[in-house]
Amino acid sequence: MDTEPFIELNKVIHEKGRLAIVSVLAASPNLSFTEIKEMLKMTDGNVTAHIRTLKQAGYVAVTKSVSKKRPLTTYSLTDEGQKAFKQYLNHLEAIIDLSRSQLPNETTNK
Amino acid sequence: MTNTTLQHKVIQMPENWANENLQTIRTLMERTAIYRRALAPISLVAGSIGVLSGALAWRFRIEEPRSFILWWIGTGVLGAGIGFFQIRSQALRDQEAIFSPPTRRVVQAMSPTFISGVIISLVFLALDLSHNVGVAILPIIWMLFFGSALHSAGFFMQRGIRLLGWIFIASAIVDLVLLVNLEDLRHSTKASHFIMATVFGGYNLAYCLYLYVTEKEES
Repeated sequence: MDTEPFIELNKVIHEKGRLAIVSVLAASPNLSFTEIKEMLKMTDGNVTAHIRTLKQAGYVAVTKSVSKKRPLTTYSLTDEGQKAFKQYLNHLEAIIDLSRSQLPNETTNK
Repeated sequence: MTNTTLQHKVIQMPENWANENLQTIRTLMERTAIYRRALAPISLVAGSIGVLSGALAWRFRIEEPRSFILWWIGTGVLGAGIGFFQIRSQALRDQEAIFSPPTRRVVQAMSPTFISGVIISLVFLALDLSHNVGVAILPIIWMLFFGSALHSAGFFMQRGIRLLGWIFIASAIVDLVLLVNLEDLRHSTKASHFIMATVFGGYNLAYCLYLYVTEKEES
């Protein structure tokens, strides 16, 4: 079996928690820390650690602003993050295609 | 176990794993982007209020154009107020923020047309335009604005909301054609009450029924 799609899977995004964060940011840009935490039912520490890793990889951008006289930090995917997420999805699809193409003929014909 | 079956199972493992991952991603993205509050109870209450309001207006002979506008603005405020409390209780029950990102998007999408509709109604009220133009033009304006607001919100909602928006807009056009051809209709408050009750009440009840039937089919 060709293992290339597995090797190509982005290790930063592939981790369960980070994949969840990237998925919600891809669907809804500019989410606050609390929104991410509540949506994914994660702890403060988990969100902080994952966001840090994603930031270091250049996938997440942080915007600091003031809302109702209180500081508000929002997170969004960078262009690089969006590109990496799309690539990750393409790799998953490639794995599915590859698995299907390697099914034995007998069983696929049934 | 035959060799083929074993090979099949081994090959299917990554396929299932990748499929599950994609499904999780899709669910997460939908949950974040799509407004998911239960619409059936909201449309049931809104529809009942609309039909009841039309019946009461008929019964108590609300026939003055100004009274007509105030009556239906009051009905709209009541419906929106109860709708808000229904949304709030659903959010509290699900332990989610009331103004979650999808809710914010729906509100943002609906606001311009909603506010425009309210402003035009207030202008009608302040300048007493309905005396000259005829009260029957207002349901058409409200249907157009409400339909447009629903259609905009439909981009962040499921369950045929955009189609419902188009039905409101189409009804406004049909009503307009009737007004052009039937002069008696233009100043008939009774007919306008009937149209309001049918469209804003009846359509919401029909939508509730649609949700009930399709959800039952899906489950």
